[in-house]
Amino acid sequence: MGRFEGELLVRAEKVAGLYPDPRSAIIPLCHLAQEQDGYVTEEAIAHIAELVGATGAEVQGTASFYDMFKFEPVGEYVIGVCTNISCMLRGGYGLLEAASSTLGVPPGETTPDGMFTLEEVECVAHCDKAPAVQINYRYFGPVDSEGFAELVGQLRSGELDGQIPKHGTLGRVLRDAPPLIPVEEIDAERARQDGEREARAASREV
Amino acid sequence: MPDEMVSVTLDGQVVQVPKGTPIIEALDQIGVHIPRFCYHSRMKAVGVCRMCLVEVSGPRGFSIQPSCYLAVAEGMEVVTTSEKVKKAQSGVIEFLLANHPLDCPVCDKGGECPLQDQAFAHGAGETRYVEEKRHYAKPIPISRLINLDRERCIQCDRCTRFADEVAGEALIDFRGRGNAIRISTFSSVEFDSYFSGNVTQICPVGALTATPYRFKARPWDLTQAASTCGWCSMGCQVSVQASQNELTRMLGIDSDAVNHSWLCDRGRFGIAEVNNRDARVLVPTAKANGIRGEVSWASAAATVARLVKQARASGGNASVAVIGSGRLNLEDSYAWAKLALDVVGTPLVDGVLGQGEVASTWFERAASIDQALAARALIALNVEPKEEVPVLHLRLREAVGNGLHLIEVNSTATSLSPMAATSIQLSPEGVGGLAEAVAASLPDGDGDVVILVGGRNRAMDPAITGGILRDLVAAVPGARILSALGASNVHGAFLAGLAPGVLPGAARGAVPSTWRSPADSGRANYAGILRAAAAGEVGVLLLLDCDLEEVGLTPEAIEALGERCALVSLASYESATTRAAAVTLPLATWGEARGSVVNGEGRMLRLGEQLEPAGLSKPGWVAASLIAGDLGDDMSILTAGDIWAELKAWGGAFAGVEPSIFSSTLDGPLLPVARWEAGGAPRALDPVATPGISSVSRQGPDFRAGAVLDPYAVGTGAAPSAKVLASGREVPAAVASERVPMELGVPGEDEAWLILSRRVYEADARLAANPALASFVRGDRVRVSPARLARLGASDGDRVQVVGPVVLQAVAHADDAIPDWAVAVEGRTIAVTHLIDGAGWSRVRLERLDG
Amino acid sequence: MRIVGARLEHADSHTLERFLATGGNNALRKALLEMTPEAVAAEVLTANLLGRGGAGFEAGRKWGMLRKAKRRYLVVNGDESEPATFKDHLLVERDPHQLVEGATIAAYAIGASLAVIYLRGEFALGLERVQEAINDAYRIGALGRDIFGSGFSVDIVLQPGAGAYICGEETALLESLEGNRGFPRIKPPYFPAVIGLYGDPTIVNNVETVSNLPWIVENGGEAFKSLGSGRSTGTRLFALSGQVNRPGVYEVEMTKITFRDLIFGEEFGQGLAPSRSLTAFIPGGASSPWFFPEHLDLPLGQDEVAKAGSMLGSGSVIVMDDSSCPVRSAWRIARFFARESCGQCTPCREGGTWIDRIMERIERGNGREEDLDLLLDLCDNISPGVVWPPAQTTICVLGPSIPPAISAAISRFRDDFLLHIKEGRCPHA
Repeated sequence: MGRFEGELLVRAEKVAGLYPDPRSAIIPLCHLAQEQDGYVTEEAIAHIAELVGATGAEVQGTASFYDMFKFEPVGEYVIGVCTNISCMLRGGYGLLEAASSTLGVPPGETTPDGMFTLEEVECVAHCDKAPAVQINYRYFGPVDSEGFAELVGQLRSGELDGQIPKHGTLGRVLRDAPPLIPVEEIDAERARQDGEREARAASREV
Repeated sequence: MPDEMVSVTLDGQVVQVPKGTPIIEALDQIGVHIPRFCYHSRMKAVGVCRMCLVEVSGPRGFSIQPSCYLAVAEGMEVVTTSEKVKKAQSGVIEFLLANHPLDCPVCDKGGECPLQDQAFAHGAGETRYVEEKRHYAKPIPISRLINLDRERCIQCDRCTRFADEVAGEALIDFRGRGNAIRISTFSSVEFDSYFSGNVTQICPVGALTATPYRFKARPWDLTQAASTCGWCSMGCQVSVQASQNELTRMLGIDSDAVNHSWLCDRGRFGIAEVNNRDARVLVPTAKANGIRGEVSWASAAATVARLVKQARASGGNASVAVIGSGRLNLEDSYAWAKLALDVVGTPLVDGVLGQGEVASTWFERAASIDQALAARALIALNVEPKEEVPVLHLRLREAVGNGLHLIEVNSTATSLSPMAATSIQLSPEGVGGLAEAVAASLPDGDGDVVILVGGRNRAMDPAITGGILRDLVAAVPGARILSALGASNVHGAFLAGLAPGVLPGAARGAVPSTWRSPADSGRANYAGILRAAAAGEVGVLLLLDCDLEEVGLTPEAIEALGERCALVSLASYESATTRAAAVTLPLATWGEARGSVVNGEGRMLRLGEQLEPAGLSKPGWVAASLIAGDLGDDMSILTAGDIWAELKAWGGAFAGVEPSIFSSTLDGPLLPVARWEAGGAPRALDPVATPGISSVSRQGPDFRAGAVLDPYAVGTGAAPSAKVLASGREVPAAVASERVPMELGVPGEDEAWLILSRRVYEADARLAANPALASFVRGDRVRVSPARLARLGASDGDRVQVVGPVVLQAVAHADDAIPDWAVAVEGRTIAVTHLIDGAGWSRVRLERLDG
Repeated sequence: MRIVGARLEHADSHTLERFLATGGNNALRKALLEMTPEAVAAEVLTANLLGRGGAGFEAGRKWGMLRKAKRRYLVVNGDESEPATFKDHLLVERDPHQLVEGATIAAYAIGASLAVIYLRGEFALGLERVQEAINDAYRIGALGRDIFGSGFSVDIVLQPGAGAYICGEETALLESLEGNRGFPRIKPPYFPAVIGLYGDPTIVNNVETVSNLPWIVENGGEAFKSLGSGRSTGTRLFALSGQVNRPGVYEVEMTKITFRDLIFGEEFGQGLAPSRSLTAFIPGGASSPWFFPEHLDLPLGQDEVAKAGSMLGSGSVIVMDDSSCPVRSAWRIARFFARESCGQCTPCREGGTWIDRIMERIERGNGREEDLDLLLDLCDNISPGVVWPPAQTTICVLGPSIPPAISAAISRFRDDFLLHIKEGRCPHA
């Protein structure tokens, strides 16, 4: 819990090395913290601050700006019902109410068994499937109240396990590439090539 | 380089303004005050509050723009009076008030609140906001000194910008987003910064308040005077505010030359110890049969005079000695210098605790802060500004950000190290070749090289630093010096003649007729004086605002010293020294007496007065004058003005000094006045930049508009002329030129050189008397290199003892930053200074404690 | 005519196999091996490719403004979050290799030291697909050192967002990419091409914009320009949603069809539910001024829509029929922007929430008649004059995105508002 350990620490250090300025890794590292613990713990924030050379207040300041980061435990499945304009026009609020009664908790809360957190969310860019539901950032739609109950059943039974990892795991495909080319090297090579091209152009003119 | 000027039309008025000036400042200059919240001239403009919107012409016609963010450009037209502008501004005020609580009657900012003032000036009379306001738990203590009220916050970003941009310690930041955005620390990490108080000063609402000031007073109950902070030698310009004969608040004045309005917390909250009457020396005392009893001033002065006479009678003039801490103000220092050198005639005068040698190299080459920060390179020698002259750290950070080339010469890493282009280690072995190494690391180019010199390592005799400084000056021709020697008026004490080998003004001309024949103090040194006193060679030791515990004597040693000679302590705070003294004279302290000080750039700065001196305390010069009278010579000093007249007569540093010199600027003059180019118009006070200054009534002339402040009623005595004495004796050269290099010796195998770094929160008697700050002293800590710790058979976290003149037991930390030859010690109490062995560079043994 | 969506007819359009079998990387080879960076940029300039993110600035001109510093960056903006906009997510999920190819071409043309694809954090599948495509590209030599033996090298890093609409604003995106809150930067400087990521010149291009590049390189700028008309060249993806029978993303040649075609046409939206009539539609995402039935015959062209007082924006068309409550729709849009305000500047932070609260009161039946004037005045204090294109008292255009919906709803549906107030409830509920 908290600080990155083991394989996640290796990944964290790799991520921090992907940018000309390690502070750029703050958001990816917060995602990694959620992958580890389901939410961003204070220990993780402190560790991220160390890894990127920022203060805890700064990392917390950045992280808390973004809706995807949770700072207290949430359900294994964070279910978002979109009520923004396109979904609203097709029953989004009705679906949110139905979801709330299916799960027995109001939006913003987690079921007592820790399985589900229900949220009202803004447009999830699946407006052609309105009203749309997002479960750990995997999408379903259009969903009606029966469809929602069915989804919840499938989640409980584990039927969707392969499709939907537990909350916090975002992209499951890791970067598989050689180490970054130092930007200085690219800059120097570009300058050299530009120079050659200019020289060629100049010689043609002569 | 003259600024390029552009022509702009401001509300129909065509004016020439330096290119790059923010529109809001150009408008200020023609007397048009645009309302503002986030803008602060000492920080980058961010344009977030949107209060300063005006209409600005552009390629596509006029548009509404923030006047703080946009700079003037050739041909630009600005309109501030249109309906569109009025509506935009009143719209922003209404938005800001929508969620702002209506608790002005109980808010500390009430009466000096920019939001309140500007809502009156630019807002509508009534609210249209009928929705529920934002609610937060409040107030939240974000440190031991600062309280946060999130409901009052208008998200102007001043405090967070200050923490990050100015102090470089982003311990507070916004949290959340949109309507829920709020200031926050991280978790339980305190906003523990030496500079935290500045956020309360610049907060434009009552969101950030200083705990020591909470509910203390209303602005209209306060009086204020301009003064100079008394904690270190930076010379930060301040407004000191009081109510009912108690100091209530200190705010930084925006001195362009010195502190840019910033203060450190040690200075800002130092007023709490002044107010602590329980810790103060309130009445003169004298010991009879070993029992300390209250006496009258007349009796105390007579006793001191009697002791002096007795000592002189039995041991000659040199059996009277003077040690001062560099904290007495200029006037007091001068009077005591005259008393000691001329009336008593003793050569044993060290009012600067051994730092006279550094000071003597310094003055002739003194650089101003601005010159130092604009230098080709700045060499920082044995100094950590953040701990010694904290506000200089802020100015340095800014200068390094603007490209200043910094070379650091310290024994261990400091807060300078991350900023330094080069770091050169100051080690006992390397003292000899140091100057050459530093000179070799200088960057090419034009412009001055400036040396910033301090007294970081207290375990290293200042004479070592003085020697290196002289070597450096020789190795870098033309180098100038900015001094960061710590005590508030160490430079003034030197220039007043209260230091070895110097006479008032560091003058080389003639001795004025008001003096007889001053003794030559050329060889005096506080350590030598203390040795002589311990050996019984001194009959009376006069201690001027100097607690001997601070220089390494244990209370027992001070007690013993009191047995060998008569200690006379002129002091404001009770200490082991006052308790051991034969006579203690209560000294009016900071805020209780007018006067002046000289800072590390040689700038003469005024001290303001806001309190009646506590108890029977008197200014130091009055005490000197009384004693002199009892010695049969009143020194012709009846008023502070007399002292000024004498200083002027001495010439040298004080040539041309007149009280009226303060009239032309808020910043005092650089000494000698001839070297000082008075700036242009004084900086106008932005009432929103430091809200608490413009709203408080003042004592004396108005400095709020940047106008005259004459700190003195000019003395009654006519200025004496500089007559050459009958003897025709010339003042000796300011400094004895021949010096023996200090032999540091070779440490034994189990010995290490001691590093005892100065800290902002030194556990001295004054800090102990300060209820607001006493808790900031750090615990005992011993740091050594991992290798040394391993040789000791100990590991990180083991308990060890450091053995010197005393023994200190503490937990040892292995630290790569500590060189192998050293042991770095920090102490929770002043006892840590007792490790100083008084021999050049102190050495200690490190021993492992079993179990 | 399909350009960016050409591959989408295949179910496996996201795979490397399909990509390579359908001409994938041909353009990249051509650009790197046969063309100079300047020549690539010239084709894009000729194509008059308008940015597909919302502002509609010519991509070629933007590239031309790049300050010629030693260090430069390319950032692909995939933070698609404007309500009712869902075209980019389709491209990143269904044709990620085309995006990577396009990004590599852009990096070559501008001489990028590093390229970053910033994807909306909620696009979990998109993040996987694009990372897979990047990994594939490295594996086949289409990315990294000496791409295809051309001597050109560049890396692409995939950066996830984390849920903040404002990061779609390019300077907020750069702040986010630097590890900060997504606070839009104050202007000037107006363009990241002058001062961008880490203070270095940076080109920020939208996913759809970049996805057009392979086609333009392969077929030439002239061919692209021959599609559409006027300044609106090529094709565009239109995202149709709301109360329409067949919501979806449709790629159409610009200016060649009208809103009526898009909403009612057989191959597109197929009209409204039986017996419903159209009351309003929003032509370019939630921040654009509303259109009404009289605007249906406007062609889908950038200038045509601008001339009629709105914008084509992100190409998102939201349809409202007479069963919907316009007060509720306007409130929901205002609420969105209030929630997504970064909080940095006063009018947006305070004004947005205030308007949201008033609209909520009215919709719930607790409105007062004076609220309508108050709303319009608050809008005026965020966006003086409430004109189009908007003026602003704010740092960025998020705050000024609220007034169009409010003013459109009040001016067109004032009676509806008054009915809410009079009856103390929503008449549509």
